[in-house]
Amino acid sequence: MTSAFWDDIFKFSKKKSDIQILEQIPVFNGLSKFDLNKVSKLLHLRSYKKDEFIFREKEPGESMYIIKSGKVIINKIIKEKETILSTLDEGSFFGEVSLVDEDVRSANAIATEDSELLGFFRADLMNLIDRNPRLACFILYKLSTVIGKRLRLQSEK
Amino acid sequence: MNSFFSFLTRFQKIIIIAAILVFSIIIFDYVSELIPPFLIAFIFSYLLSPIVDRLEFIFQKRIIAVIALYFGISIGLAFFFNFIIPLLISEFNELSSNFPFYISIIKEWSISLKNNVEMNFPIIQQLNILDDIQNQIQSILINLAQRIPTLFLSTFSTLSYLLLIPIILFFFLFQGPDIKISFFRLIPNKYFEVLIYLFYSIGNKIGNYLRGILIETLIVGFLSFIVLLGLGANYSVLLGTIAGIMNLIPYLGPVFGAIPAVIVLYLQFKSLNIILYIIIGFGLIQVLDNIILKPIIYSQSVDLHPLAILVFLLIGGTVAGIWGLILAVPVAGILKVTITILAKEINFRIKFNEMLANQTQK
Repeated sequence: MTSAFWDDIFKFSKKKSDIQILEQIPVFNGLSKFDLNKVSKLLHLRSYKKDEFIFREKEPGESMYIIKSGKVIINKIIKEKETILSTLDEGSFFGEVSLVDEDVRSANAIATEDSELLGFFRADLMNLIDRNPRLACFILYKLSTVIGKRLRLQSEK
Repeated sequence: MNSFFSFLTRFQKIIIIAAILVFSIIIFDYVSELIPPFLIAFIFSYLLSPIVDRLEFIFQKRIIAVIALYFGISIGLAFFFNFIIPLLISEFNELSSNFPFYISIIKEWSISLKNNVEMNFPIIQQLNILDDIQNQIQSILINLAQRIPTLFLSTFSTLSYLLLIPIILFFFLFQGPDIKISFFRLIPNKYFEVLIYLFYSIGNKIGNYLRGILIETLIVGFLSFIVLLGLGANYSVLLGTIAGIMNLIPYLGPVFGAIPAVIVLYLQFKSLNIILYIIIGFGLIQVLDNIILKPIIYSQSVDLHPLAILVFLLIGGTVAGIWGLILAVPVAGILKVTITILAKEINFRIKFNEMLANQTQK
């Protein structure tokens, strides 16, 4: 039971716009509002139910996802046991390696509650190289920074 | 969208979908006239969108890029209508008016042939076979002569098309990316990533293929025109255009394209040398086309087995006549690209599902 007296009935007005969410993603960090607006037009808004697969391991990966609302877990079956690699919520992103790598997904992504995700596709990024090379270059640079950072942390472990 | 459908049971969904289907079939009859302009605009937007993408890089805004493209195209069209179309039409009218003359020459020739044969084989005279053949040929020729103008003009001549297509095309080009995204929103989550992947990979290949065909036709047509001009032929623009378009038909196309040129040139110059020259010239163009153009165009997209091409040509020819012959190979190419990519994907999915089943069994 929820009561209007206690519940956050103003939540709707607090909902961030896509651009505000993008601003905080490291891949798009540092872009102007003008460019962010262009990027936001390339995004695919998807809604997922609780326990729905967003992608599965070994599927060909085509896109990166940004969580607009909800929660997502990344898991993998290691030695026949399900291992949760990460729990992500609003404002996080995952699957960015697929933007530069045409290989298969290396883990499962599952929505643990009803979630809204923004998908950013490799094909759109490649198309952006034709349409707006400066912007595409910047995103690719930021993308490599993110992946490089992950590599460094992983090797330091 | 998804939340709306989740309220309904499966049965209700089926009823709604069935109702929509029945409704759309009823409506289809009324709007079927509207489909060709949309289809043509869609194909054009496919061909032109890479250009708009590159222009967008220069002008920063997509709408300005589209307007710039329209500006460029209208200059091109103005040139085309002012110089090339009147030339084509005047050449065409001249050829049509000379057609009876050509027919009479062929008739003369066939009568002399007939007399010759009948003199050597008197039996044939009694059977009247040659008279029959002659009448047949004559009626075919006259029929053909009357049909040529409609053949090339009727399909695209409706004025409403000419007005509708640019307007639809404008929105396809300008809002293409947005339209695509709203279409993708309708795809269920399960198939979403796969379908977008398929859409892009198929779209890329088909786009490359169609652009390649267009460029090939233009180059072959232009080279044929240059050769004919060099030989001093009468209707070089018209004959070059025919050679270029006919070149879309594999194997037989170049021959079909050369026949009118050979006939016209022979009747114009009345010498066999000129036929030799034109055959050498067209032969060189074919060599160029097959050694340089075709490998570039078909290498990364489509190569069809010659037998498959023949089957498609037969089907195209019986279904839609000359346009069927011309469009048979592009359509076959599109089908092949689509089927190859789909088959690969389905194959992968089957293996993937087996793997998932194995995992759960363990």
